[in-house]
Amino acid sequence: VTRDELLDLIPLFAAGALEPAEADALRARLATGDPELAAALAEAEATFTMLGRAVEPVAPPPAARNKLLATLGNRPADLPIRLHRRNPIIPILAGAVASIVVGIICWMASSTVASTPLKQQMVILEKDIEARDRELERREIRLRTLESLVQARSLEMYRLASELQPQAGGRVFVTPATGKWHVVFFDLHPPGEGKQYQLWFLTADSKAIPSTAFDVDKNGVATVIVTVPKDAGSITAAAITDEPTGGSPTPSGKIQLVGNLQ
Amino acid sequence: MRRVVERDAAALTSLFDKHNGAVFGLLLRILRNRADAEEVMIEVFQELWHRADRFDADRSNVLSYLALVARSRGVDRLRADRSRSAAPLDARYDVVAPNQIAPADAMDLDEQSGKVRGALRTLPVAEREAIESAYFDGLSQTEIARKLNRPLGTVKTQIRQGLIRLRSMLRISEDRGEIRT
Repeated sequence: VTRDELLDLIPLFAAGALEPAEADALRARLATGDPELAAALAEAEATFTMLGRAVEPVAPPPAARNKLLATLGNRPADLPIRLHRRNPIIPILAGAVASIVVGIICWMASSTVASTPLKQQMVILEKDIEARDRELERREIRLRTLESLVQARSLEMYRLASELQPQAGGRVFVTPATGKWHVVFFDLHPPGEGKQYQLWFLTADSKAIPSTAFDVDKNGVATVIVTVPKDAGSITAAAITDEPTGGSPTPSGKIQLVGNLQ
Repeated sequence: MRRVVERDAAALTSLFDKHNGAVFGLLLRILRNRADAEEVMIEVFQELWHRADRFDADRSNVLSYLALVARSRGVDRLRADRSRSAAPLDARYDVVAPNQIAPADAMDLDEQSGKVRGALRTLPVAEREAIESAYFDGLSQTEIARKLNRPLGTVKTQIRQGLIRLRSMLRISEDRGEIRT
């Protein structure tokens, strides 16, 4: 690999987009202490890092602040210990308190040993509760979405099927007022390594407009909620294909399910 | 930051209050799920607390450092999620809440991020798509080529040219004192 080729790889390395073998080779070269390569990398990394600033700030849930503080409180060794030495009485008081604390610690030694497993259990339980809270939040979103679906004044339903996966199917619930589609898939095979299914809006003039890429669960089930682009024109059919992970701008895989919407 | 190194929780809270919107916004863009973004954001600030002594104020400012860590942790989570199937998709395509950042902080952040957004907008679409796929989706060049349905060599050139172009534009802003890296 020439020096120019290495310099060409630097932006890709900074972006984390190199394949592992190429990244390893460049890393080895950087380890030799080449100043020009190191400077180029620092510059490329600084540029790449700034992309994070391009995102609009969004307020997190109000509870996040207390959650952060609570996690700091779970680590007694890391709790802030700040003694403002300006007041001379504080060291004296601190000494007296320390003596008392030492006495208490000796007295509580046995009970501390006994309570350690209990504390560990509490930490595990707290994490478990947090995970359940998150799951509940997800389910609540799902429930609200389904509720809005069944309450819609106008609702149309279409079926998706194909010979390629005869066991599988899909149902598209269209809310014309909002342009929202709730699509449920069932009994789909896993899409394969490095692949996801992708939904397509098919127009009257035979265009395929890309929609979301998605995975299925162990039962082959997935639910997708999408909004038809306003400039999509007349959608006459829908299909899903298997595409590389993340989806594709144009269909490249086989049609796994398809159905007319008219 | 010096106060955070000295284990002053009030200082960490102050940094959290100032930068949580930027960090959460970035993580929401990467993960597209509020619960996951919140969880990773807390991890990012925990990392700041526990590793504050590693922060080099001469080389970076706090927001750049937080963005670096947030992007890294966010992409790690994204890759882990990709390897698992069956995430509830309706929760993954989440609604972004309105911005509730305090006006003064929002102005400061907006001024700087506006420059980066402006620079990004001036890139050719193909270059911007390739760079954003690397940054926000954590994809390799091969994965980006597949996702965008472009030859691998084209994707390499687009990322390289795009970053060089961005650097050049942001350097001009830096020279004018508009950007703090």
